[in-house]
This record gives sequence, structure tokens and C-alpha cells, in this order.
Amino acid sequence: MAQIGWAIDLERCTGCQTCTVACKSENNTPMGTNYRDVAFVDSGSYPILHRLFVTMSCNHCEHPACLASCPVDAISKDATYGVVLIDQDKCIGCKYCIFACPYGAPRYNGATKKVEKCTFCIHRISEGLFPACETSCVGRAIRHVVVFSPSDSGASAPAGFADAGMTIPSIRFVHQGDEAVQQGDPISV
Amino acid sequence: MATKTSSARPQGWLDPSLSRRSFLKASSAAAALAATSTLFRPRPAEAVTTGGLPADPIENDGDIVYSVCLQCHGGCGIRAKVKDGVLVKIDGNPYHPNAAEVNHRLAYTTPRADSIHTLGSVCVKGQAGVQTLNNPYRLLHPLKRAAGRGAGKWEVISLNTALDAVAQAIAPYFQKTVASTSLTPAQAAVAADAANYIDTDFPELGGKANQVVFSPGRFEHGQKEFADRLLRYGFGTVNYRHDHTSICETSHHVAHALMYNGKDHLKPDIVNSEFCIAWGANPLEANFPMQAYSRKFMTFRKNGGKLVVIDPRFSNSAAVADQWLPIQPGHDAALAMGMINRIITSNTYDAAYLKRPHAGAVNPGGETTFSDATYLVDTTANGGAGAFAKSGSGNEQVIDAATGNLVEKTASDAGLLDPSDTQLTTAGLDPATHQTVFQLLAAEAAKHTLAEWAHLADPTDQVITEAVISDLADQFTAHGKKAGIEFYRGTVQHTNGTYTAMAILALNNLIGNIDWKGGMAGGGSHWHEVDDKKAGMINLKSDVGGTKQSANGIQITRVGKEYEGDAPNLFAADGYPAKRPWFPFAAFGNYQELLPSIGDQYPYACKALLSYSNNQPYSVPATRDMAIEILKDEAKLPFHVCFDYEMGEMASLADIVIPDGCYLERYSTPHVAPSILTKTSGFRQPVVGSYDRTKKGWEYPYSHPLSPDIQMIEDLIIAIAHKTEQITGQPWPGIGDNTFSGSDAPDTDGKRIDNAGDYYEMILDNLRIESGKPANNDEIRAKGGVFEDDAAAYDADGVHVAHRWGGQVHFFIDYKPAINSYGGASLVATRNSMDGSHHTGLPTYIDPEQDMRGNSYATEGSGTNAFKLLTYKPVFHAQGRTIINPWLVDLMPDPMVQMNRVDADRLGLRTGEKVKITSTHPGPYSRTMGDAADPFLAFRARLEVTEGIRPGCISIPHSYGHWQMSSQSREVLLPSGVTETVAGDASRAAGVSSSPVTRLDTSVGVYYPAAPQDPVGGSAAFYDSFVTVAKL
Repeated sequence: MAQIGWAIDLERCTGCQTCTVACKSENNTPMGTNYRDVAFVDSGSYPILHRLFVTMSCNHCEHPACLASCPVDAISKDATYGVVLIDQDKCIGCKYCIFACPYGAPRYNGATKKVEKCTFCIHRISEGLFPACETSCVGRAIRHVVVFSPSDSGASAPAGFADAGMTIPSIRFVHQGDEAVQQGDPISV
Repeated sequence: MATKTSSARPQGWLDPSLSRRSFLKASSAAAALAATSTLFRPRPAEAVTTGGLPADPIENDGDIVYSVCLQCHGGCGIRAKVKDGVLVKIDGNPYHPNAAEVNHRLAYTTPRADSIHTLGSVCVKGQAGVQTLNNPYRLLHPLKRAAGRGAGKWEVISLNTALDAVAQAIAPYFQKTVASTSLTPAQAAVAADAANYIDTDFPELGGKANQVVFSPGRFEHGQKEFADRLLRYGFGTVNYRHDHTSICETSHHVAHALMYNGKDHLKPDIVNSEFCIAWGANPLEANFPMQAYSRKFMTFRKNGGKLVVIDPRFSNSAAVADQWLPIQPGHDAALAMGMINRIITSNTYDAAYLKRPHAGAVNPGGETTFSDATYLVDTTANGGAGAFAKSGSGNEQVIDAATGNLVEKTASDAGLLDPSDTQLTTAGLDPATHQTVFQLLAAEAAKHTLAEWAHLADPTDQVITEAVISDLADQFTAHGKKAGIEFYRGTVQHTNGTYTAMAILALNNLIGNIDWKGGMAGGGSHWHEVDDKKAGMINLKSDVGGTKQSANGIQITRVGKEYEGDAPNLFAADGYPAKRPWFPFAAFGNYQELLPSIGDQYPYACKALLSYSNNQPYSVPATRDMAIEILKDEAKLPFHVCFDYEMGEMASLADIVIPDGCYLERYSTPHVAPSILTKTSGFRQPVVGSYDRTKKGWEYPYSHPLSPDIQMIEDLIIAIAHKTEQITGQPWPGIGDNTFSGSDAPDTDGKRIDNAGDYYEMILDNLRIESGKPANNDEIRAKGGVFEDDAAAYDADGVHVAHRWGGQVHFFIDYKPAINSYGGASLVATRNSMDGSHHTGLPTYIDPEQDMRGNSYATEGSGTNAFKLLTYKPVFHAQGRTIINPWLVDLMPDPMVQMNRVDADRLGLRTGEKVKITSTHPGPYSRTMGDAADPFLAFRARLEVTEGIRPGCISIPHSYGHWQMSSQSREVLLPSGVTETVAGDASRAAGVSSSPVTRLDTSVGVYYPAAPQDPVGGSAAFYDSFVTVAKL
């Protein structure tokens, strides 16, 4: 099984939250249930201030804490891409996964009373297309990596990012001078 | 792929029981049944997406329509994904330069079929356009008021009935134009067309046709030219288009036009820049096109470019900057003048550039522009405002650096910038009365020391000091031509906006960075949709058949005209001050003067107002309560029809409201900002519905999936023209049998305009012929426009942009700039209509806290709980209409009033507390906002305590604080005789807006004051008002 993952260049993130809304439009999520969010990390005091934008969704971990926490085995890793999915027919809405995930990825849907989350737009990547957050990213900060190396897990992560050793999230951050990931890799179907 | 995933959810969208498709089916079926109550029973916005839905289906070629966004004015190409007639997703057009950067954008020759799986980007607002089309509250049928204006009671009427009423209201004024506005009153009284004058005592006002006023708030290219064509040349009103620019950034444009002879917009070539100042501008959130510009800024940062952001509020742009300078708002020119002082005294300006006095001067540096820096000025002329010391043959003169002689500018390769008294005397000039423009600028900048300038820019001496100014100036001049300044509305929507803009532009001019790669660029611009620039193109702008009207006289807002020279009889009657101010240089209109001028009937009365996508009561500062009063006054405003797709604040006060399509349901040809260096002509076209070109405008050619009454404004105007022809028996030039004159007159090749489709087909012809790129018009439709490829951005010389401006830079405005419709004198030769003083010709610092008569009101800000009131646009909102997009509102559902922690601690205020905000100016119409007495926004103002705003300021985001936009319920009498109550959606009323507590300028007007404004450029001042904030 290959593992698809994220390469996020925070130096290109403009904080616009287009990814959040593009995901809503693509995945038709209800109000208040966002698969991808942008965190605004403010520090300092007037007039010396700092703000970091961090875009974050499910990291489709190698060892997903959500999967381990699920009492009804509703959560699985997809065999083709390693995408973590929640079976909506099995989910009982107990929210254990929400508490278990170090990244806050699973989201409760008040209408269905179940938990859902980022699917890496599996309906698009399985057609060779890119996820909605990536294609919409104004600053070109969000990229996917078709074959994500676990050894890159959490690389160059911003302060406050949960210890990657716990679940081996399929995400790395691109830093100054690391221009390897300019465009998302082609996805072969 | 797993068989059951979180994407495998039950159907449903607006309602769990209804898919998007079935919702639209239900609605259009209902429309066919002639307005059954289903159409007026919308659901709350929160219900628009209720969850439990599958992801969007995968698209193929037939599902994609390339068009252009209008969630803001960026003009980004979009890729609309339409499944079974329903818009489901919006992305970026991969051919469009806004939507895709170099190495990602498709070449124009790429076949459309190969483009379908290459997605460009579109920003957060553009993504939410799906909800603009599928807005459950949008107006679907014409409404006529069933009670007093603003009472919220309506009756559904047919489109024919609505347009008949418009034609009846305007027909008495149709073609009531006059041959001359320069007759004396005695001559006018006996002229053949005497009956057509508004008032023969004041012939300058023109004909009665001018009493019909068209005011589109947001109007796009294509639409603009069409309305001009029919209303100006067909109907004959000089009030053919009052649009919104003066509440946006007009003084920015005017300052450019003054200094660059009509060129009204430059932007840094940011990706090649090494140093940029974003000054009162927020490229990551609110500039345009936001998505392309912000992406280029991030590339600039990646490349090691240094960014300084000057803004009293800590924006997302400030967050990615090297330095944030929270300046005292409105005092930006003090910083700019301080920098000019430092640059001149440290000799870090580009002297070789500034010495070039004309285009033909020797040019070792490869400059494409030259300046007036060496021109000599007689400082005693124009009441001390000065004038160029011209030769006997009327040309500007310089002291030639080689010979020391006084010569005409074209006789010198280099002039002296800073001649000594001896050199002036030797050249035959009196040093007491003659100086070069450069010397005058230096003297202006030397009026204060750096420490004094710093204190004016920041009286706290905390963030802007003498050292900061020196450092900023030194950094700016340390990169050759590869530095530039981006500035926008934050610096110019002030009473001193034009002069502040000129001071900032002077900084760019001192390093001579225009047309240089990495410097300032004029952009790639566009091909010409309505001009006959090339053989085979058609003049759609002004070639009309029949009796072409020459609309003349004074626009009701008195823009583009000089009080004394253009209105001699009014001037003789009233003298100084004028009853309301005149704006000879406000080339882009004056939106905030429109309603108070109607209210004051100055300079004449308005008989019929046609407003389109115009929301003055909400969007013009200081206007809310005054606008409501004027719009309700049936004596002052006998007729008001509003074309809009929502029941906005303006529509709510109209006699008749006619539904408009949203931007996804119309044609137009949007341009892009100069941040795009390649030629770009986007084509906006409907993404849903169908258009039947065999129908005439009054036969309603557009078939909209929601309602047959949603037609394009061009067709509605044609229908009004048709009905007016029937009433008056006179043909309306510009359409039908009278479409064109002369050799283009309608003939067998079908050159006639009977509907919007005909007109836009000719526009496509023009774009195709001038660009020579598309094989046919279908290719333009298929690709969403005509676009130059990225290779065309830069000159082969490697150091210039390819599309050069190449003009003269003016520091001193003693010439007649090529500004729209302006035929008057130079800036220094014109006077302020309120006191007769001459305008200053140089960049200068002016205290912003003064009214139009020059009275300072700075003391209004002296109280311990007084604050400067600011506004801002978060990235996920545009100015006035994105409240209808729940996805955007949900990113900040509870907007708050921002205040610095230091101030909040002093006043004992905490985040989340309700506050009331009161104008410190005790004028009429000023409000206490937020408390129980506020008629619309009671209890809505809540405080956010933050580090990210300058102490002494509070800031309120735009887009919130609506009191209409379907936030209130309305009663609608249906054709069935049933009266329905349409419940409002409370989320549309979230937050507050700054308008009710912005200061009014009571020094102008007969009865009605105005928003504070810039007497030169005409910008409405958003940021020069003081308020008090207190716990509720």
C-alpha cells in the first residue's frame, strides 16, 4: 500500500481560508463542520506581533489514533492510497475518535449525528485529480505527495504540532530552500 | 476504494429531503406556475447546507463553463462546474492569469478539451459564489411597493408592468437636450430649444434629460459602455452613470492621473521586486486581484524580498511582513514627506533619471519615462500656488546642466535639479520667485525635521521615529529600480487623500522605477471591446444611428466641472462657498454626493432615479439615516426604480424593484488590475440558463432556471427604450433600426443590436479582430476570454516590463491632465469651490481632520474615551454583499469591534462585552450605535480586545451590520391575492457597520450635509471620524 500525504509550505500560506471553503463546496459539508481549517497562531504584544497561519486537516496517519479508538471498527485505511475513512453506516457518533486524534481532524455532523472528516478527496484522487484544497490554494501552500515517506512525518513542523512519533502523520512541512514540492505529483489511476 | 466512506451520505441539500437538483427543479416549476408562494418561503441561511450529502460528482468537458468572478472586483477567470443545469462548484479558469501562475497556466493555444482537468484557483470569496447563485432569498419577480417607501410591504407585478412604469417616469424627459450650455440666460430664454432647459437662468445645467439619473453601484465593462451608449447618446442625460468608485479608492486613481497624465493605476512588479512597502493596502486580503496578488507577494517573500506594511491594523499582510508600522491614520503623508526629506538630503534619489527633461533627451540609463523635476516654476503665480515659468512660445523651461542657460525643456539633455541662486541669476531668473520643481518638493519636505514628521505620523513616538523614517527611506532607495510602493484605500479614503497619494507616488518617482522589471508597472491591460482600433472593429461606444443626443450640462454631483468657469451663472448667483462642492478633477465620479445633491436639489432636481446594484444607504459612510430620509422623500425624488438581485438597503426604499441576475447569469468583459502584466480580456457569460438571440430585448431573451423575470440589464434597458419609443413616438438611437450611423448603419449583414446577445457578439468580434488570437468567437466563449501568454510579460531586454507606460512623470500639476471628460484648467489654476483658494500643485501633508471649509475638528478626538474609527475588509468578504454567502459568514459569524488591550484596560472593557459607539460630532443624523435607541443595529456591537490595532483606534469589518439584505421580514402580495410574510434571516444582520457613526461634514450643503470627502479626488473619507466607546 502506498501512502498519500501532504507537503505544506507555510511560507506560501496567505491565511485566506480558501481551502476551508473549497472543501465545503466540494464535499458539501454542513455549516460548522469543516474538514479543513486554518489556525491563526498569534503571539507578541503591540507593536511587535507575530502571526502564523497553519492549514490543517486529517493527516491520514500511518498509525491513526482515531482508528484505534473506534469501538465499532468504522474507521479504516484505504488500500490504494492509505487514506483514513469513516464508514458512515457503522459510525455511532460516540466521538471517541475526536478525542483520540492529536490533530482535531474528525468532525461531528450535527445533522447526521455521526463523525466525518477529510477523505483526501478520494473521489477525485481515484480519478487522477487533485484534492479540492490543493487545487484551490491561492498561495500554492498545499501539495500532495503520492508516495509519502514515513521518515518525513512531521518534518519542519511549526511549534505546537503534536509529536509525530505518536501516530506518524502523513504530513511534512516545506521550509526555506526546500523547493522539492513545487507542484503536486501526478496521480496515476 | 472503500465502498462505504464519509462521502457516501444520503441525498439532500437545502433540505435533507431535497437535492440541489430537485430544489431548483421545484423552484423553476413553481416559477412556471406564476409565483406561487413557494418562491417566497425561503429558509434560513444556516439551512442552506444541512449535511449528510455526497461529495460533488466528477466533471467532464460538458460540465464546465469558463466565465469571470464578481465576488470582488478582481476579475478572476472562473471555471464553473455545472451538473445537470445546477452550479455545484467554482474553481479558477486555467487560461486566466489571475487564476494560474507562470508554469501552471495554460497557453492560449491549448485546446479547450485538454484544459478540463487543469484547475486554476479562485479565492475564498469566489468559491462561495455557488451560494450567490443558489441564494434562497434572491429576488425572482418585480415588486412594487404596496405602502410607503421602506415600509417592507410589496406587491408582485409583471416585468412588463414594471418596465412600463419606468418608461412612463422617464418619457417626459426623453431627448430633452439643449444645443448649447454656454448661452447667456437671455439667449437661452429665446433659443429654439428654450423649453428643454432645466432653467434658462442657468443654461449651464443643460437639458431636462439630465433630471433622469442612472446610478449603478457596481457596473462592469461591457455593461458600462452599453448603458452609456443608450442613456448618454440615446436618451441624452449627462447623468448616465454614477458608480461607486469614490467610496472605493478614487483619490488613488485621481492622484495617479494627475501625476501620470491620465494613467490611473500602477502596481509593483512584485515577483521581481526586492523591497516593497504595502501602505494602507492589504494585498493578502483586500487588494485586487487578491488571489494573484497575494500569491505573487508570497513568491516575492520566498525570493528574499523585504516587505514593510504600514497600517494601523495588524492584517494578514502585516503578519507576513518584515516590519509593521501602525501609523496614525490619515497622517500617512507626514511619513512620506519625511522619507522624501531623507532621500533628498542624503542624495539617494536617482539624479540621472530626474534630470532628463523630455523623452528625446540622451538616455544612457535606458529610461522609458522622464519627469518635470528640472522645470522652473514662478512661485508667485496662481495666488502663490505657482505656475511653470514658460518660454515666449509657451513651453516649460529648464537650466541646461551643460551650458547653464535657460532653455526650453526639449533643448536640453539634462537640466539642473537644484540650481544655486547664482545659477538662477545667471540664467536670468529671480531666485526669490523662481525654483525648480525638485527644489519646491525639497522645500515642501523640509517644512519639518525628520523628528517632526515622525511625530506627526505617530504622536506617541512609539513606532515611527526619526530613525525609523531614515531607515525606511534608506531601504527603499537601496535597491535601484527594484523597489516599489503599493498603496490603496487605507491611504486615500481620507479628506487629504489625493495629496497623500501624490506624496507616496513622489517616492516612486524619486527612484524612477516606472516600467522597470521589479519596479512599478502599468499592467498588460486589455483588448478594446467597444472601440474601433483596427479595421473591421465596430465603435460600440459612441457610434449610434438616428438622432444622436449630445448629453451636456452639469452632472448632478458636479464632477469634471469647474464651478467658476463651467457654471458662470450659478457662480454669479452664489459665489463662495458654493451651495455644495464642485469636483473638477474627480474623474471617476462622486458617489457620496448623489443622494444629498438630490435632497438639496442642487444644482437641480432629480425626477427619476434608476439605481442598479447600488446600495448607498449601507455602503456610503455617514449616510444611513440621511439616505433613508432622502430616499423616502417623494417630493424630492418622485420616482425610484432599483435593479438588484437582493432586497438590499437601497432596494428596500424604492418604488419598484426589478430582479437582476447575479454575476453568474450575465455577460460582461471585466478587465484586471496592473498587477497582471499580460493583456487580459476576460469574458463573463451565464453559467446557467440559455439565451435566445432571436428574441428582442423586450421579448426577454434569457431563460433563467429560477424565474422568467430574471433578465440582463442590457435587455431591460432595451425594453425600457422600446416602451419609451411607443410613448413618445420618437426613436431611441443606438438600437434596432437606429443601431449605427453611416457605413455601419444596419444593413443586410445584420449589424444591429436588438438584445444583449447581439451587443456582446460584436464585442467578441472586436476582441477577436484586435487580438488576432482566437479563431472564432466560440473559442472566446470556450476559454472564457482572450489572454496573452506569460512570455509576453517582460521585454526581451531583460530589465523592463513589456507593456510600458512610457509617459511623463509630473511632480507639479500645472498642466491639463488627460482625465475623463475634464476640459478645464490645471490643478494649480483651479480653486476650491468652498472658499476660492487655489489648489496646491505639489505633494503635500494636510491635516485630515478638517471639513470642506478647512475647519479643524481635531478636538473631537481629545476625550479620554474618544477613538479614531476605522474599517477593514477581511479576506473572506468584499465590501457590501458577501453577507449572503453563509460559508463566508461562518468564518466570522460574530464580528466584533477591535480595540487595543491598553485602551480596553484603561476603560475596563473586556472581549465579548456589548458596547455603544457614539459619534463625537453632534451633527444631524449622527447616532449612538449598538444601544437600544439604534433603529437597526441595537445591541449588536461587541468588543474584541486585541494587540493588533493601534491604540486610540477601533476597527469594524465591512460587510456586516446590514439591516436589510433579507435580514428583516417583508410582506408580499402575490398575484393569487394571498399576502405572504417572508421571514428574515438573522445571520444577514450580524455585527455592525461604521456608516451610522461616521462623521458628517456639515460645512457643505443647503440642507443635507455629506460624508467627509477629499475636495480634489472626491474620495469619501472612511477613516477621519472620532467616536466614543462605552460599555452598554
